[in-house]
Amino acid sequence: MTTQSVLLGVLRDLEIKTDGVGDETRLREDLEVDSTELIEIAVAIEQRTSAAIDTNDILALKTFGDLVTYVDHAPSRG
Amino acid sequence: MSALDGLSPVLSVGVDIVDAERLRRMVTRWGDLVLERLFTADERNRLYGARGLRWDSLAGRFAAKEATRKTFGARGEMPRWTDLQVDVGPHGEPRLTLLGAAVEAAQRCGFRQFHVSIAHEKKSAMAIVVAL
Repeated sequence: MTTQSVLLGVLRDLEIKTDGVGDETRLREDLEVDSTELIEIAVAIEQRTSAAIDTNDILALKTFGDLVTYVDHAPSRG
Repeated sequence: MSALDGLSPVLSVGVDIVDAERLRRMVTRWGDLVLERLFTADERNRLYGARGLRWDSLAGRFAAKEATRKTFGARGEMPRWTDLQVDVGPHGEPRLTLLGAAVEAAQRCGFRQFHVSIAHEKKSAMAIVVAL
């Protein structure tokens, strides 16, 4: 399973519409994700992957593509 | 001599309103996984009362932290939630304690003092923070 598909699953779990989501999709403006939901997204990603997600880092991300790249390069929890 | 001489200037103001029900749903779903990202160990201990989590206190503290982050954000800083601790003063008033990297961030911003006020309603909490 790719990082992209995992993250799309996370968004759907949080009842965020994922139709047409691509690398350029903006988290806040297009998906209307706010800081509280980003906290949930960070926790949900950690539940589905081995990545350690820093909440402050994730708040600074702009697009879905940024999120995919961040998760791909995030250190593993250990 | 002006009457304003000697008074600290307001350097930044932050305000935030929190949907308490939404926060409650999130914490109910994720439990400590969320609480540990938002609150210090001291705060988490104080958030539990005789009937479990004190939801109004949780929402108010989170609003205060978000409002504080906005005072920093206006100066290009963004401390972690767990580097901002909302304590209770001797008169029951909320007090902000800076921890970790937030201490240096405040120095860079020129902040020496914070005043915090929190208000609760059934479905929401709001906070205003003034940085001097």
